[in-house]
Amino acid sequence: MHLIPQSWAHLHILVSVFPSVGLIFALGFYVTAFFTDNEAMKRFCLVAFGVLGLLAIPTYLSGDGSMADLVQKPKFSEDMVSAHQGWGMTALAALALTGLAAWIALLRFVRAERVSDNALHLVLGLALVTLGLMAVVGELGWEINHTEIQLATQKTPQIWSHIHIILNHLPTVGFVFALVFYIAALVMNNVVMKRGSLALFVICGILGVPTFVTGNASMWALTDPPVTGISKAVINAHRDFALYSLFGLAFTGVTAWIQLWRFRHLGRFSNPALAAILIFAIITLGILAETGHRGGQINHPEIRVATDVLPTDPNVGLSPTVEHEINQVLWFVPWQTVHFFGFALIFGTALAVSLRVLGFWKSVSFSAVHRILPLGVFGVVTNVFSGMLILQADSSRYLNEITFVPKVTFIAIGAIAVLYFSLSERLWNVQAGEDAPMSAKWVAALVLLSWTGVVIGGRLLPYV
Amino acid sequence: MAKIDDIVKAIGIPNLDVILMVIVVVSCVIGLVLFGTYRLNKALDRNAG
Repeated sequence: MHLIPQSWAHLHILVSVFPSVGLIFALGFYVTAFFTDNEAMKRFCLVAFGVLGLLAIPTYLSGDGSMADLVQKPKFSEDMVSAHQGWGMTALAALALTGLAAWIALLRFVRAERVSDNALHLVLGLALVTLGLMAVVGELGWEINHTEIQLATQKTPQIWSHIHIILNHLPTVGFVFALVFYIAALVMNNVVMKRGSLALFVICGILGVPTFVTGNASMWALTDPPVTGISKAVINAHRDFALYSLFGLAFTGVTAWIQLWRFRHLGRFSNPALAAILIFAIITLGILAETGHRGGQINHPEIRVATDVLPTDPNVGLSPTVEHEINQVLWFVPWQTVHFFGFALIFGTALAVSLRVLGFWKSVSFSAVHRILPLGVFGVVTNVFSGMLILQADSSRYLNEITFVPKVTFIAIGAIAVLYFSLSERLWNVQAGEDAPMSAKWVAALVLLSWTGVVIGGRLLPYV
Repeated sequence: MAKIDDIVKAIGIPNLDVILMVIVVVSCVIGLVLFGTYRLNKALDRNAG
């Protein structure tokens, strides 16, 4: 029950991320609907834009209520609050206009089978303008409270905290959108929407990795040396749930990917597996909500309620225990060895599939090499698990090595690019003796370059 | 009954416990990966048939 907002500021923090970060995912589905020319999906996206437009009301009201509280406290700069409010009003007006255009387009859908492309493009254009404005408003918004990201005294740069504040909303808000679209897809029995939401579950799982890593770095940026008002024990409580979230995201993401892979070969989904994914996703969403709340408690005293009992001992919890155990050679070396096996699996699979796409072994069809992809995906899961364990052994040192950021960036790019192999219709239809389309070759080159970058970045970690 | 530490010392190989742990962990993880891939492909063949 502590997740239910008890103040305007808490409500504003919660509700404002949906019309901002959520727009990215609504737009992603909308563009997919255009590419696949799926009328039902376009219609559902219009509903999503309409609902986001309505969220302008609670966002405005909660923002207004929060402002009345904040201006009385010396911590908050009046100029910053005014700048956020000014841009916020503009962005909310654009959001309301997007919602209105979406509702009007929906009404036209009721009267006719198809709506003119002009009306749909108008919604797309307005949503893109709103997203740009929301990015500015969001940045101005978290600068009001997160003054710690200006600190230059910490050993670990504050850019990590800044990126974490932005990045953590992608797998969380994205997961909400994936789940809503997934439930709608199951009810409407729409194959494109099912595949789209399964792909978003996978993307959220992949984005969980850089989110977890930046979160670890933020911990050091906020605790070494200690910052007034920020407790390591409260951070550890957040980290414990972040670890559970990573498992939840990975579990949902992998089961979703298996269905995408299976669909490619059989042209249908397994209904029990779709139901299992729904259950995993609901459980994971619960864990993500608690993780987000615990993250908010680190530096948002305004969301704490009288019944909240915050931890005080930084040595209690799952994360400190994992840190301690993985620092023993008996645990570190086995997981590091597993990590190298994982790389071999990922790179071997990516190389075989990418080389076929690039024109090697044309005597086999693409569908034949597509069958080995689970080896690589299981390799990714193995390495996310072992990599996160290894990171805990000495996270402050790893995170401050110059090859760490490129390595994690390449992991996200390489893993998302591999999704293309299970989604592209044109690539799937490449038969024995045929050449793959040029777009697929670019993706294959990107996959190979990314995973090469991951291996090189990882190997250089202890040396540069 | 001899303890595992005594057996490790008696064999005389340095860090035998770490070597054994590597073998056990790697075998379990790679075994799971191979088993998972095998089962997925088998299920695919069965459903395709």
